[in-house]
Amino acid sequence: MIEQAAYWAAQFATDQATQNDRDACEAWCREHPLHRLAMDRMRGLDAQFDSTDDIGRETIETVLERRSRKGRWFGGFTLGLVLLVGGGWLAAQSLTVRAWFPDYKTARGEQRTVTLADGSGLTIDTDGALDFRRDDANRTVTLFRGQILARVAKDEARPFVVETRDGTATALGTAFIVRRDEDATTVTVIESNVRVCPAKASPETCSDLSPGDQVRLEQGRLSRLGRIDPGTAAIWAEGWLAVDDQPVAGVLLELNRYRRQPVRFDADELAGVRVSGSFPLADSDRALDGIVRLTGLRLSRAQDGFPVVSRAK
Amino acid sequence: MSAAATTIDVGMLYASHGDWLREWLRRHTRCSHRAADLAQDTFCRVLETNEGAPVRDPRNYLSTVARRILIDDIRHREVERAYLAVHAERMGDADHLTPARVAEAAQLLDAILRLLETLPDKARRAFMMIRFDGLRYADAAKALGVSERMVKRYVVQVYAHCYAFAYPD
Repeated sequence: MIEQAAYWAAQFATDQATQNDRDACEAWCREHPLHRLAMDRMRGLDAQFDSTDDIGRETIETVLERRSRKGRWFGGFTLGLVLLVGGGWLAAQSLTVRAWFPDYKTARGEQRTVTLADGSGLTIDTDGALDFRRDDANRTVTLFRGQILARVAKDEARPFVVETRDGTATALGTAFIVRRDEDATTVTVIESNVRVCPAKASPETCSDLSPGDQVRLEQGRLSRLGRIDPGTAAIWAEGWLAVDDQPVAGVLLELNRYRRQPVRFDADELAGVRVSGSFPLADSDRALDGIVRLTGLRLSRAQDGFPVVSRAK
Repeated sequence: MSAAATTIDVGMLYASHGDWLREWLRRHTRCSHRAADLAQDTFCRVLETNEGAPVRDPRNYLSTVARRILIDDIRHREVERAYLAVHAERMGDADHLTPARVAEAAQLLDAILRLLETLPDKARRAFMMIRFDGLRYADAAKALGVSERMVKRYVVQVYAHCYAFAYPD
């Protein structure tokens, strides 16, 4: 029904519509009160676009252009070989080789949402790489580096598993985040339940998590981190770095994951400075300006052009 | 859950956590005027969306809602700035803008952006050509390098998307 109303709206969007079209639309509306309602709503929505003049249109273009920078390919990728410290060398090696040619990867500063062959959605954060395989028994994402938000399509017969060198997370439900850092993997559950198992562990060391749970997998061990707010845990996937009263050094470190030109700072000098705010990841220069403004720190440029953050003199 | 019970919940939230929320927002914005406005918006949003379900951790809940409001506000300001810049470039001093006009324009554009933003690139471009630039289907098809039927399919898709977005039920 909505499709039909959309069809009429498309028909009337140009001056090519004929009296026949108008009559046919009117006939369709008469068929059922719900048809009439759908068409009235559609006309109401469409009217919004009427009041958009040239300036409005250009504004839309400008903002879209700004915001879509996050989806742009920055080029110049580095392979995550250094991430493969610890863990069994042989296991690491096979993953290493595969990590050279991942099915999906993102550049530094890029975020991308892809639909996998099974219909599941993955939002891949900055500087990430992964493989996806599906066979009769399993759906497996192998995360070589970076962070993903998985929205899992239902398939009772084939569990959805995300594996990293540190262990696996199996979806018993729908949405969760897996983040692979240099030394460990973090799993955060947004919706429903996820079973997490450390690498090379017996089944009894696995743990079932519910929404808001967050665990760390490191060197074959699983440790529970504090509870987090499932409503904001995935806010990075919408392009925001949201921090609430955190040490600024850690926030800059996180921001650097998205930057080709990392911010330089002396963590000891910045000890004790805290920051709260929401900063756009798509425009990490603007995010940096915001952080500096909110903390009263000083932003300067090194001779090679890299930004430097320090305490104001 | 009756409407009265919902009202009491939010009233209590306001009384016990209103100051805390304003302080939380002030930390996030470094501006107490803006913090006060955003706190107001936060409670409005809570009133609109909360069905009176008990809130286990009120501050956590409020800060989640406030974070959304804050992000909406930043996006809205981005649209305002872009509008002002485009307007200045096009009109110079020829047309005098009032704050009310800017706010009104930005609100409309913000709503349109929400609709268009999540669309695939091609569908959005096709739609803008047809609906904003007044191109005919054949001309848009030529510009996009796809068939006329495809352009029409894109536009139908966009309208259906807008509908689903505006009326999620």
